[in-house]
Amino acid sequence: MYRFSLGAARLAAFFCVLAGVALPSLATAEYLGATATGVSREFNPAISVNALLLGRVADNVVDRAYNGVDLQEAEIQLTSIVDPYWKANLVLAIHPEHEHIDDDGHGHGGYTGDVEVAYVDGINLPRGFALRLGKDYLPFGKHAPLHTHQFPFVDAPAAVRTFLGDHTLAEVGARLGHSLPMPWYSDLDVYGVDGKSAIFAADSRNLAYGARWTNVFDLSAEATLEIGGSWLRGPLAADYLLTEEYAADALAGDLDIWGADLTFKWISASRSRGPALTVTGEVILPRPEQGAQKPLGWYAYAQYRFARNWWFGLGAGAADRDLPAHDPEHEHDHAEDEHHDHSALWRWDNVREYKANFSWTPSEFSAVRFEAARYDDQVGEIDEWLLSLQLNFTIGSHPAHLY
Amino acid sequence: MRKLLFEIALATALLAGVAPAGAADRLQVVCTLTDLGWLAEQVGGEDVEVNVLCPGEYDPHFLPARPSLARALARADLLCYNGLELEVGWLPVLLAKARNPSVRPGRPGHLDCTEAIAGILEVPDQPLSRAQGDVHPHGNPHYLLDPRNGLAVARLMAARMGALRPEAAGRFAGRAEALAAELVPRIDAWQEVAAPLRRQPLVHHTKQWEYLADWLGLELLGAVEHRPGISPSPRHVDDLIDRARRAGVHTLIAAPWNHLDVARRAAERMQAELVILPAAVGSIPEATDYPAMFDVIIARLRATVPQE
Repeated sequence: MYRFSLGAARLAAFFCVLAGVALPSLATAEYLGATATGVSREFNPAISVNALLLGRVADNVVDRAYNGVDLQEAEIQLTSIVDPYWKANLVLAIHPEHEHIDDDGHGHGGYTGDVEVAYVDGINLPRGFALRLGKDYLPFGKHAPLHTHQFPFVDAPAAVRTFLGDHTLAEVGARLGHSLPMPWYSDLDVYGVDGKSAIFAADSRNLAYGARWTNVFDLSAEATLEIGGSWLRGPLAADYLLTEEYAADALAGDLDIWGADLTFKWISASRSRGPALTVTGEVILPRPEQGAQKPLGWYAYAQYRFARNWWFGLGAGAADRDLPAHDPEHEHDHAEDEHHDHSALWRWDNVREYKANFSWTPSEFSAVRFEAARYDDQVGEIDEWLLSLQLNFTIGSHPAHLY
Repeated sequence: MRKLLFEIALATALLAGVAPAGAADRLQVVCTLTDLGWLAEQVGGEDVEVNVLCPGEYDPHFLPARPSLARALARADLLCYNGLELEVGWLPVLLAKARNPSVRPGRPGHLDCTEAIAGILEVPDQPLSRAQGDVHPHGNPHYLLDPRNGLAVARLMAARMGALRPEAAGRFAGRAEALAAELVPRIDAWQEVAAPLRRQPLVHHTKQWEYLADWLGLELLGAVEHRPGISPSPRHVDDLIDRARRAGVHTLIAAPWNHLDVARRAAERMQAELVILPAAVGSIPEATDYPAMFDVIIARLRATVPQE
């Protein structure tokens, strides 16, 4: 992860103040033209900012991440044409730092920033080809490529968080795409990246690589069916699936993850922002060379717009990992983790989740969402209710309507 | 596994290589709107093949960017779009998916039809904010609801098609002039029929009839949804109804894709008639083409004028 520290933030603030003082004086000379001043806003990138404010309460977990009100994330996006060959996109994300407790029992948190996305797209390639260089979400399945404010529910599905990492699966590398000459929309993406996410071995120099095949069939002018397949291979992290806690030796070898997804979408043409329905299901099958046997994750959800400004969502999912026999010397009490681990809710061996939410979207630029989620491990040891209220707003350039 | 991947890559490359190149002798034109599609067909004739992205029944502000739409764009030699950010929610997405450099901004195959419009209405002269709703920052984009603008767009299309297919440039220009010769008398006739509508106050559901009003001399008293994309507040609706009653409004016009339940309630309260007007070719069955759309608009508006 590329992070900027508070020191960097102060430096950025200094330059902002400096720019605020300096630019007006330069602007007075704007009539001389950009050639004379070197300052022109004509070529500034399109800027938009999205922020998520989240209040939530859990009935058992006492972790502050699940109890209280916080800035869930703020994203600053800049997009522009670079030159006749490239278009660039940069997304800076700010989100809460994991809280830690010092020896005196005081909590320490704050905010930290990531360069979430920084890539260029080739805009001059032969027809049907696409090339992306830089850091971006890997195109695995339907959910992993989404930004947080695009999630259908407040949190990512347990299957995604468990098997593709708690944080975004964004990596630096190259992606080549090609539209296949089929009677329907068919798109193949292949990529190679320097895997730095937690699911990959931190000390490996091997590349991670994979592919995504997307097929979309028009059922009518209003309805489509999408069938996708994903595959990802990379050096296996020693603690993938928590197995380091159980295995005497660190894991090694490669990690293969396979995925399949199905999405039905219907959007009524009868009126602007009229009834709409999305039903999505995805299966994630990790196949590590070592570690857990037959792990399996899945999720499914439906979203229905029942009135101009109102959506209703229902979802369910599971993440199962049949861990190897516990090594008594490495026996671990996960309950202890919950006080220290930001992602404690997703670090169970087997988890089932059920979610429902209502969203009010008064415009294209803001939304308020109330959500109830329940998690359990099916053996009665852990069950958790999580209630969330989320405000989502966007300022700046007009957002694209993702399909 | 590696062998399997190699075979998939090889099959993909072969499929790409043997794929049909398309009807190379005809200019492949993609238009975002049905109005533009009809104009392109009139100008292009048998020299072009026209595909339209947004069906007439859809509000062009909110077209779902189905990936299949990008397939048509991927084969296009010329993209004709309305501009003024009417298609901002979906056209950039489709352009990115289409992966066709020929129709990217700055290329001859990328035609913003706004270039043809001399009098763009409602170009903001004050700073904008989203508090005014989802406003179009470069002016009102619904200029095709004035048929004179449609003619200007047809001539622009002819020039651009001619630049892309110089051997057919004469035919494109000739067809544009033939269209003008057909439409100009009809425009005069529509204006004559609509003359009694001049200075008749109307209420509209959503702000998109300004060019029609400007052409026919209609007086638009106000919009039920006065901030684009934002549900109207009860207070605004009450105020509009009061003003409509005082002004003697007896017609509320709306597009088929507007939230007609809201429009119907407002019309009932202001004791006015709700009149659905086609806002695009194909938006209602009777609007089979661009002139037919104006036939319907003029006839329905004219029917609201009390007989003396």
